[in-house]
Amino acid sequence: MIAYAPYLILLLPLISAIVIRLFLYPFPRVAVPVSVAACLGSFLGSLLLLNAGTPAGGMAAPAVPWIELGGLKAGFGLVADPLARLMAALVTGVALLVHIYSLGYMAKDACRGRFFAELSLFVFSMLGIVFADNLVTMFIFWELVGLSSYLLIGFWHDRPAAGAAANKAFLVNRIGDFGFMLGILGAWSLFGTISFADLPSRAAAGAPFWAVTAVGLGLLCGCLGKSAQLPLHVWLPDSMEGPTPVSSLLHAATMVVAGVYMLIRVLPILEVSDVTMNTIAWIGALMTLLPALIACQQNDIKRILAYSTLSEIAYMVMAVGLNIPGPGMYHLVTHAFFKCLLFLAAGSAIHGCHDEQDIWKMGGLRKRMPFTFLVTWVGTLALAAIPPLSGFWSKDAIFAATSDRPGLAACSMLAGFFTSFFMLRMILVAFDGKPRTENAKHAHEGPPVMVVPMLILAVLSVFGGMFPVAEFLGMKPEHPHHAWTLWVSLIVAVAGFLPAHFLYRDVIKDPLHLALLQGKFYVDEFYQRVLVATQDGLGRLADAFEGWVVRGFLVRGSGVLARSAGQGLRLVQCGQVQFYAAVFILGVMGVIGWLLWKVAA
Amino acid sequence: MSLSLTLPAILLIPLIGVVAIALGAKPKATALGASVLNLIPGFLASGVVLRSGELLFGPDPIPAREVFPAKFILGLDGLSLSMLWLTLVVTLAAIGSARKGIKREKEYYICLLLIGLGALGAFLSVDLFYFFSFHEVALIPTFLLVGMWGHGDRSGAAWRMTLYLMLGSMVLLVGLIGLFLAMPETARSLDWRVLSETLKANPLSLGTQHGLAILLLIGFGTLVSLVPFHSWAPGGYASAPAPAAMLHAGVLKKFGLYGLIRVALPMVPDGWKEISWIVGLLLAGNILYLGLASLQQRDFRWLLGFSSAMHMGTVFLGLISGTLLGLAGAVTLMVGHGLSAALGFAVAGEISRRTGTSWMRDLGGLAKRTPQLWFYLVIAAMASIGLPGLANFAGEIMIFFGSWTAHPLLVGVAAWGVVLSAVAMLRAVRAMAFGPMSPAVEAEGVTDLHGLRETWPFALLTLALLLVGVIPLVVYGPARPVLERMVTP
Repeated sequence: MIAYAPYLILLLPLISAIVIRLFLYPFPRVAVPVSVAACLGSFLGSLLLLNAGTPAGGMAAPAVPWIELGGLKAGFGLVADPLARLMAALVTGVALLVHIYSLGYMAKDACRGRFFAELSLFVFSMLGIVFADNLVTMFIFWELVGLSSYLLIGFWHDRPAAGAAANKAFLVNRIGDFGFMLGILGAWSLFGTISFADLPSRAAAGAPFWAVTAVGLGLLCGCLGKSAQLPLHVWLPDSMEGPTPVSSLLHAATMVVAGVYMLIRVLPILEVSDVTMNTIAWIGALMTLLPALIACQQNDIKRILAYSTLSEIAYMVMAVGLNIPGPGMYHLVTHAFFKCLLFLAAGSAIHGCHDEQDIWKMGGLRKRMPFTFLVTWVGTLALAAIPPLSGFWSKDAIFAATSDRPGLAACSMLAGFFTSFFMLRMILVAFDGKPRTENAKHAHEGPPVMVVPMLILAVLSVFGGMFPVAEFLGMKPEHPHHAWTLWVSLIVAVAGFLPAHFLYRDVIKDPLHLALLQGKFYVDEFYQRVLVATQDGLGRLADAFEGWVVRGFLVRGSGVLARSAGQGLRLVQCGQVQFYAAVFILGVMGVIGWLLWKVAA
Repeated sequence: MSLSLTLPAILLIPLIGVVAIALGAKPKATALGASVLNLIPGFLASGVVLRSGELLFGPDPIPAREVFPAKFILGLDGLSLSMLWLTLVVTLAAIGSARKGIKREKEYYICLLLIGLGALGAFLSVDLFYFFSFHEVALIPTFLLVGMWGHGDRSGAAWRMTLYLMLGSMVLLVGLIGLFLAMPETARSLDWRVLSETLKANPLSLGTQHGLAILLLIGFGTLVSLVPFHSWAPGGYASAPAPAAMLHAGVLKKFGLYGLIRVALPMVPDGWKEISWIVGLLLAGNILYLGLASLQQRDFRWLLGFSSAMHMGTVFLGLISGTLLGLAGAVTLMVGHGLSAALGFAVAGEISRRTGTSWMRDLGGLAKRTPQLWFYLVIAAMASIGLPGLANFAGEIMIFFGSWTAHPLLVGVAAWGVVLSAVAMLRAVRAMAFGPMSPAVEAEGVTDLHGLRETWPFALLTLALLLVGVIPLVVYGPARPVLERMVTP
């Protein structure tokens, strides 16, 4: 019986999305509870599954076949190993809190029926990734997650920036998926299977080193897109154009970590090649640092958090590269709590200030929104890895594994310094001092439906480190806790608060102007001017050639063609079309018949 | 009553519709009635095919030595089954979304019915003479529809289409006749079942196969807008009235691909293998060249025209894969592409009909003004860029897996094509749907699709896309035994 639980957990949100789309768009009062109820059902199911022991012989619900032909066996089989169970509980739990929060946040939006339908679609797609038991199924839900992200980022149709951001998110992900697809094809031809259950043994059995490396790097591309890592990270900050609950659920807590989840699933392939593993580790290390630097000079409260998300996911990616998936998942869980909390708190501030997102136009929220202020501090301390909050434990587990890799340790610990810096900067500018605009003066806390989810997440951010994630997954690393990584990382993180405190206390404008960081290292500009421009240039060339061929060949081309074309035009225009058509058909048929008759005779 | 009579009934019902409209029956109602009624023999015939593999109607082909070798034999097997249903569904949707009160309404609907009839005849014919002729029957009304009811440079587009497609047909005809002549005199036949059997047992010489394969490739390829024989397609579709574009891009174009699977692959297999590198080059042209050109289109209908021609490249990749998986993927993608192209052109037609323009620059804010239309626009765009759950993805992924061993580089090209088409399509959706409303969209009288009466053709195509996307078995299952015979030597 319990074997069918994944199906139930998976399908409830889908049913909700379909029912709302078909019948409930005009009735948001009915649509919203349907979506919340579906999410609640999935969450309860996930909890049951989390606590259920695995029956002997594994837990296999029969797979629903999709394509089974000529060596490809892709079906919707669901896997419910500890990794999937943990992830499902996390996804549905956070999603439920965000659903509840959205009751308040989206209360005045006339289109909230569509919003909740799209949220349900997202939960369904994300759970599909979680339960997928093979690469193709994962890819299917991977793309569906991309669709729901596209729809939700672009939820406010009338904002041009939302449309642009939605496109960017989908297209950048598509580039990553290009590599992912080739990686899947490579894995299939190399190992003869796409099933996660069979891949470890086949990968261990030995295959040409460079082929495995290529496959691993292809699969990595998928992660770089979905989890927004270098060089495909550019879409995530822009995705903040979506409603804040979306940023919180998709673009902080769950969807963007799908890349890490996928890497852990295919780790048996990755770990064969040290080239792949080193690439992953170094991309992770660099990405902890670069976004943390950029975040120091951003002014949009959600973008600051988005860059911090990039940096935190990079810790998980680095953990995969160091072959310590346990701590990686551990950080994934704690990060989901405190980053979701930070986003909901930011949303609360934005909501309170009537859609103001610029921290320089806030100020003084501490007195008007004391609860939001408090939970922002909780989230910040957890994010900055200050003991005994959750983030400390998970980051420490990752730092411990860098003890013999000084380069990685330096990057990731330095990132901790800047994380503390930009978080305190954000708090001081937005919450401290005096209100700098009318909106900030009239700021107020949201309704209880917004407060309660934040409270729950705040508690989880404090105590979430107590979950024995790595032990539950059976992925406890062998690294002992190193005293030096612990102390150094802690001192560096605390040190980050000091300059922020001195620079940003009671200021009305930013004392720092670092153009390189404000310009986000100009990566977007580089892509726009070089890559997009090249592709569009080639497109213009192709289009011009196409026009030239058509016109050159058919209009100004050989006299015969032109003349017959002219004649044809006259036929069509002189109104005796049917007659000519009939003649034409009969003529063609006559010729064919005559030929055949000649041949036969 | 023998169920084999359902096959001529499938052709007779639209024909009766044509006659009735000509005699003065209400055009749209009659055309629609005929298309709905046609589902009944369709269902009956499909039932037989699913149970026993094939259904035949007509004289026995064996004593073939007669003065006129062509015989009117209709047949339905697992492969033509999906083409039959593609035609029935798209015809229904095209006629359902066609406008009333258009000039020369009678002729308009007769033309639409004739395209459907021609396509049905071509897919049901077992005899190559009728196979070819039915396609010609369907082409003529296509030209007329473009030339008389089209938009923009309609006469130029119509004539370009006529020229290309007729030339292509002629090359194809030479190829088919050549095939007939190449057979030893005692074994000559036009029945493709007989031909396939005979040629499997006694293959033609490699040289002959080579020549015939090239003729068939150029002939069928022109009809499918294979680069460099594609120039008729984008402009033709852009100018065609929406139902004509739906029928041609959705159904009739598949005749070329179907023909390659029916004729080229089983009858000149070695020749086809020999020229597969040429096909590979050309299909890369379709994907990269047309894909890049599609990025620069400013008119949504032109964009759909380019993108429709572009996606043919991926089908060709399935055709040269030489694997069961690749071929099955090609058939699945043919169905998926037919449905998604039809949906795309239907949406484009509604947009330009309601706002008076299909220039993406002049549109904007459709999502707010016409949410239903926006929904189907997104479905059409997502289907065409290969979103899982919709039919095209199932076809594409089967083609990718089926071709990977033989043509990894081309699979890379095709996978990059997925990125290119996503760029083009999503840019279009963004330009038309997001942002503030443009004057054309805000104008008074711009309405959304209203109620079931206007949405059902769109919903029908969407449901079909979902069905094939979620359960691709409905397409590749019945076709499997037919395709298996082709790949096993």
